[in-house]
Amino acid sequence: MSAVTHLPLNARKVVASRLLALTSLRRQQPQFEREDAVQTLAGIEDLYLRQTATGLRSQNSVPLDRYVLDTFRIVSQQVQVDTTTQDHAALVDSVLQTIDAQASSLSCSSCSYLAPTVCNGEYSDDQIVERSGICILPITNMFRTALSSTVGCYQNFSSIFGSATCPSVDFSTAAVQKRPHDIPVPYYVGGVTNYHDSAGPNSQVCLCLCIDEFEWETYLAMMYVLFHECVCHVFQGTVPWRGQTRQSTNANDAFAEGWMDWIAQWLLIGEADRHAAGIEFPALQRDTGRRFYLARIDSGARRPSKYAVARIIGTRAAEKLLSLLGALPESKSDHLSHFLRLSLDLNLSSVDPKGREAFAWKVDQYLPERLPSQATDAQVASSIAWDENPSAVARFADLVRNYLQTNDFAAFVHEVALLPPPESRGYTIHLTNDL
Amino acid sequence: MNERFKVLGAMLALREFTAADLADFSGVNLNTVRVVLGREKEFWEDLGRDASGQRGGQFLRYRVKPEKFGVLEEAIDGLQRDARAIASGRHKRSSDESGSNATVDVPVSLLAAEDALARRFTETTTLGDRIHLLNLAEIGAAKYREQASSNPACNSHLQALEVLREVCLIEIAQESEPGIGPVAFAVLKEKVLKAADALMNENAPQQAAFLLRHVVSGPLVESDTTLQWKLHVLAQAVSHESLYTRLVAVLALGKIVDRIQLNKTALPPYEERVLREALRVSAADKDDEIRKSASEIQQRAEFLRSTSPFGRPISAQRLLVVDDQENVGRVIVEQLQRFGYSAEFESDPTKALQRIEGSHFDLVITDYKMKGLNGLELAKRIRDRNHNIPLVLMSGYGPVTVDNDLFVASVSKADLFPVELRDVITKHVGVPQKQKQLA
Repeated sequence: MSAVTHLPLNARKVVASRLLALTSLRRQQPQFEREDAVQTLAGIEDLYLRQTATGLRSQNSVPLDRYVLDTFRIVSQQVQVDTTTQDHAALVDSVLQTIDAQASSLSCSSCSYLAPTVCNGEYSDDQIVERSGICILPITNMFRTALSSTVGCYQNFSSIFGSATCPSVDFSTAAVQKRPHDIPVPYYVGGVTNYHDSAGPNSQVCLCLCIDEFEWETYLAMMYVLFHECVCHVFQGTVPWRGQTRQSTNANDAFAEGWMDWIAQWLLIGEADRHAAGIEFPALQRDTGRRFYLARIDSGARRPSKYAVARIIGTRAAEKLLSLLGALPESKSDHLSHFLRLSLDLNLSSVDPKGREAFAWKVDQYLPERLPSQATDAQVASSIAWDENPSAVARFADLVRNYLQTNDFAAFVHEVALLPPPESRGYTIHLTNDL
Repeated sequence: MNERFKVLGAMLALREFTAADLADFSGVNLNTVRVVLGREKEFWEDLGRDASGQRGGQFLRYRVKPEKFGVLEEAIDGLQRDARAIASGRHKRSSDESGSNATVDVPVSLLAAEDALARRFTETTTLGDRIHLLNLAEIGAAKYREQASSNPACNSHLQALEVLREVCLIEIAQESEPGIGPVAFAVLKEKVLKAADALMNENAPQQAAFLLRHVVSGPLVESDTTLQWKLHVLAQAVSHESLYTRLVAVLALGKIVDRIQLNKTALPPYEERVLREALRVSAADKDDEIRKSASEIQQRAEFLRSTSPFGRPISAQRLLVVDDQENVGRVIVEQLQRFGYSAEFESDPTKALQRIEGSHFDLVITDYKMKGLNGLELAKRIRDRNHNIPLVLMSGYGPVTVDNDLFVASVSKADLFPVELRDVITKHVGVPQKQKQLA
């Protein structure tokens, strides 16, 4: 296990104050909309964002709670002298009071287990935040929600999760200078899961935030990032536990970053739609997550992510297999469960990540894409001519049927790996590690 | 035809089914499925009623007759062939209508395969990981090869992919066998530029640049032979019509300069000349950014020896290479020039004879099997004219026994360079003038 680290004090001053202000303001958004005062709300939000940016220059000797309180009072004064807010004075006063009250309830001395010593920019800060961390509590709660939903999903659908040596899971936060990904969306948040398995399986999820750019959209996108890390990476490769440090998969991995990400977004959408506890703005967090997910696989964007094509292979393969399971008589009544069982088992298993990736590529190549109902004649002809291969599908369907009978995912993956690339004629190379 | 194709495909995959199963699997309307089933009775047999039928009406259950699997597959193949003919015809028409650059979607799998070999390959370090990426590329590309003939965009990407694969395989081979010869690299050089051209024509400048970048940033860039080969690719790419390709090429040349300086290695005189010439071409480019980059790199390249001023002959020894296979002959000439000799090429043996009569050569290397005169006949005619010039015979069938009055040596074309031929030339002509001066 490795020591858990968190955002430095200055960064937390920005994040904590913005979390508090942004969520309080957005909770009041319906009232502002009713009074046709959305511009006013945007103006107030802008003032908070500008003023809280000073957190990065704040002295370490100023405790976080005092910084937040002082900053909010300055904003209140600015809002009160702003003539544009006077048409909706009552509403504005009410929201300022709410924010002020919440800021007053933030107490570093009651948070710190070393009180009267509170966070001061020293090493002990990480331990204080790890033990209670009231300043980033909304983020920690998001992580707990994502983790518990993920565990629930694995418990419900995986056939081997019960036998898993469940990894201990830590949550950490980090500040980064630039947007921590190359995906074409204005969300300045990313995640990474590191494995510290020397004393048993341990997964450490780190949420990386670009502090300067931490705004509402980024807040909304955090939930999806956390679902991604939990579903795709936290439990990866723990069954059977061999006592060896797991290798992180790379950003190109079609299975981990494409196939499993499909499940992560599916789970987030499901949890948001049932208003699961811990998802405070379900519709917004769901839609933002979906946008993030789609942007990750948007190879047609003006500046697409350099990993987009590999992710597309994985997500497309997942959708194709789900579609096949939905069409086979043996599995169609419960195709989603079958699909999740296979996917989660495979992710949990200690199958070599290269094997999982090759599996995703093979599935993608063997199964045709289902065309949209409004497909043109040219698309249909082209699909039949080049994309569809009924003999290959039939071979693949046989393997799926066998898997449904035996539930032996390892054998299934192995058999898929042995399939030759479909329609390769005369120019196939078969390379193995035995070269 | 579409519906029939899909329903037959579903029958093949499901083996046992109800009409509803076929409709679900194929996405074809249930009534249409029933019509197709009615017309295709030869393939299936009735298994009775399915207990899961709804609304009192139970579905009939069918199965494909085991002896009909082959015929069913043939029927599907036939339909697919028809679809391919239609798709190809449609593509051809649309190309004719809209000029040479009809836009056709390139399958994502091909782009992912390119990505695996062009970008990911350079980031891997183990043989296992590299083989994995080659396998992924093969999985991603295999099913599109047949499409290539009717889809130029697809074809360009496949062509680039084949080049990338070849580069990757050579890089793997070179790790274990550093003696991969320049002939292989010279052939690849042509392929790389041709593939980049094809990609440019298909409006895929990113991929063209990708290809070049891979060529330059491959893990074996530090190997002298590879570095020199890459330098030659880039030296041609700086004159490419695409601005993007020229920019990538000049920036890549900058990387090569930095690498040479960092590793404190030296380029052979000929390569150094190629590098300087390429930078000179870039410095005169019509684009500001390229000119600026080239000037900057030229300054960084000042540490290079300036022993080979442009335009001055490197050596006084003149060699003539005669081979009716122009690409092979030119490779040999290029190699001789690298060693510091002044080498010339002639593909027609009769013209070669005229040149030998008209001027002085220190040595002639001739292929054995050529159209018109073969190597033996050429040698006899040279001797008949009382020329004592040393002759070397090359043969694609390995070294052959030769008449010592005619030839000073016989070498195999398969392993031409560097040792064997160079030794022969050094023995009969001497070391290149340049090396003498340096010594």
